[in-house]
Amino acid sequence: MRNSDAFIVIAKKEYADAVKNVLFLTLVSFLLGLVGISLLVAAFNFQSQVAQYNQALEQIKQSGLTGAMLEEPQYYPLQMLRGTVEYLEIIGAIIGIILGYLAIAKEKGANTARLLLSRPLGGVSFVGGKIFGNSLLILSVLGIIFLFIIVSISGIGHVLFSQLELLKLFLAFLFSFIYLVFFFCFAMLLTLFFRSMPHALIVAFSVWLVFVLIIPQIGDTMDPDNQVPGGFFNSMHMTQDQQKRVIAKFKRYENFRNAMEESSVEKHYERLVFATLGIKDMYNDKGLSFIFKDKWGDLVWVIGYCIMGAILSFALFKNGRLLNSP
Amino acid sequence: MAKIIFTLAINELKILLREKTFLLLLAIFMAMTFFSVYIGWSTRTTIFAIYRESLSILREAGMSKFPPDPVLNVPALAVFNNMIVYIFLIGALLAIVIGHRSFIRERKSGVLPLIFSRPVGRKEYIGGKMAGIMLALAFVLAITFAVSALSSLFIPGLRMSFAEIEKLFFFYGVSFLYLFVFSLLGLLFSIFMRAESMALLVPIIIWVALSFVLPELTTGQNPVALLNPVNIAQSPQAQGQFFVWARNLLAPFSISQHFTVLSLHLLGIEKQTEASGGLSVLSVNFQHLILLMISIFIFVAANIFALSKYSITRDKIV
Repeated sequence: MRNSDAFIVIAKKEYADAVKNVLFLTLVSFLLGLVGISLLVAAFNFQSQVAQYNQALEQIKQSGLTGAMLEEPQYYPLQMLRGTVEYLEIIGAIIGIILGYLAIAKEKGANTARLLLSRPLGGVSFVGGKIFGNSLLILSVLGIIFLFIIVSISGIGHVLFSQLELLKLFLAFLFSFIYLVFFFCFAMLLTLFFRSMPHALIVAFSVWLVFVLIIPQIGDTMDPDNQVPGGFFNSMHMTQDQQKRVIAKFKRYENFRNAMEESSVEKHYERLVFATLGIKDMYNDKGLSFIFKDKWGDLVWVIGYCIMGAILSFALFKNGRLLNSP
Repeated sequence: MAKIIFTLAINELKILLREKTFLLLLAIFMAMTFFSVYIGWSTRTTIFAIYRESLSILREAGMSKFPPDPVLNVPALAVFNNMIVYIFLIGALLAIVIGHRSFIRERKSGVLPLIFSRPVGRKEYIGGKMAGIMLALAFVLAITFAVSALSSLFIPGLRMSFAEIEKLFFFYGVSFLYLFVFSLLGLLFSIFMRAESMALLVPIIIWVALSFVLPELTTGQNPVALLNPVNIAQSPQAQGQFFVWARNLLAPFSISQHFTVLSLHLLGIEKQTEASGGLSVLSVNFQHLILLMISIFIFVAANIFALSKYSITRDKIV
């Protein structure tokens, strides 16, 4: 068998195995459920904002004033996806970890590794086939979620997406794909590296915990503007220019906070996707050139992490490691 | 019976202290405890400095009336607010691993037939396991409490009163109950799941659901917003019929929220009970405490039942 044939066979096998795996199917259903819940919660939150606005408007009109001072809630369908993106950050990463773990664990655990390695099979075919097959799988999962969102918002919510919004949504899912493939590669390399598979899983979850949940949380809680609901600077009634002057005097603190966030792949992914979807207000309704002029750095980081994960997986592949299970 | 339970519990603790995975998670947890105090102190002093700087800029701009300092009157214990999130995240994972390893280890090594060939009943055995887990959690949290209390001594201007130390102690007590729930969850799945990895993964998925999904449904907040104690304490609850319905239906099962509410009150981040003592904070929020205890009883019963159905001869772990 040629190397390219082996590559395709392994990729196909990966795909076929995963769609029969109960755990994988459970996780994907769980993620779909979460996406549904986050859309529902966002919709009810918006409905509640509109109701509050109407109530306030009614009271103002009754008192003989005009409602000009009230800001009418604006509906942007892509902003409804904040919860979805956050679940992709958390649960999507877990799906990536599980796939990466299973890709190696099933060979080690069932002793099929010995059989595979008795064939003229190189590391490139083995690792490459695993990455390719699982990448297709991740793409399929994200494709289902992508369609689910479009159907939910357009079909049930009766909101039509503009072409630019659809393109932005597509790009957000492309970035999610890269992010998930990174976690796949990361878990795969850990499972290759560790002799004990459960240890590999626990280490993968520990790293996930630190880089996906803890480091971004530290950056968030250290943000001076997050110390007061609605923002510290807003509460002080300060202009953007005044804020910048204040923050300029605390460069060391800000640099430390920023360095914490920069070390997390999740934070780069979040910044990139929040900007693309306009969840962060300053990017809302803006063109892609405006967004990417500002966010290209985050894009480079996310792609860089993913490539690094893949390279390390290839580098760590050795027959001995695959055969080395307790 | 008590002697057997005691022997099993001590043995459990000894074995855990030799396990690399447990020690790794313990090290992360300790490092984060120390770090959380530093973050709390650093954020507090920086905000104060930023406030002063903002005042001088606003004065230059001709303003004469200013909002009060946001960190003014913030209690000393609020410096530990990040611990709520670390217990919520790292602590829960550590607890699941403790519970999971406790039984899986013995299934894998095949010592269970040997243990049950001795005069050890199943209830005694599971009692010993649970007591061992409690010892391990108490050990972890006692060190964490000591690290928190000692590290606060190095923070200039932060002198905790006896009442505050007492509240910090109660906070770790509540954390113990919360973590015990997740240990029992880890133990439960390690008893009846055939595959070792699934036995670890399913409790983690349940933890994600309890920690992020239920609070989102009942508060309307996005998942990541729930990781910031300031957001949790000060954001208004979502209005609307859906959220009222979700709160009524799901809030009792939201274990993480019971823990978070109790912690926010004990650490003085919630203003209503800031001046109260530890016991009075707990009595004001007794419904959350009771619901945490009920969860523990349910999981204890589930573990006893699962072990009573466990077949030593048919067990084949994969």
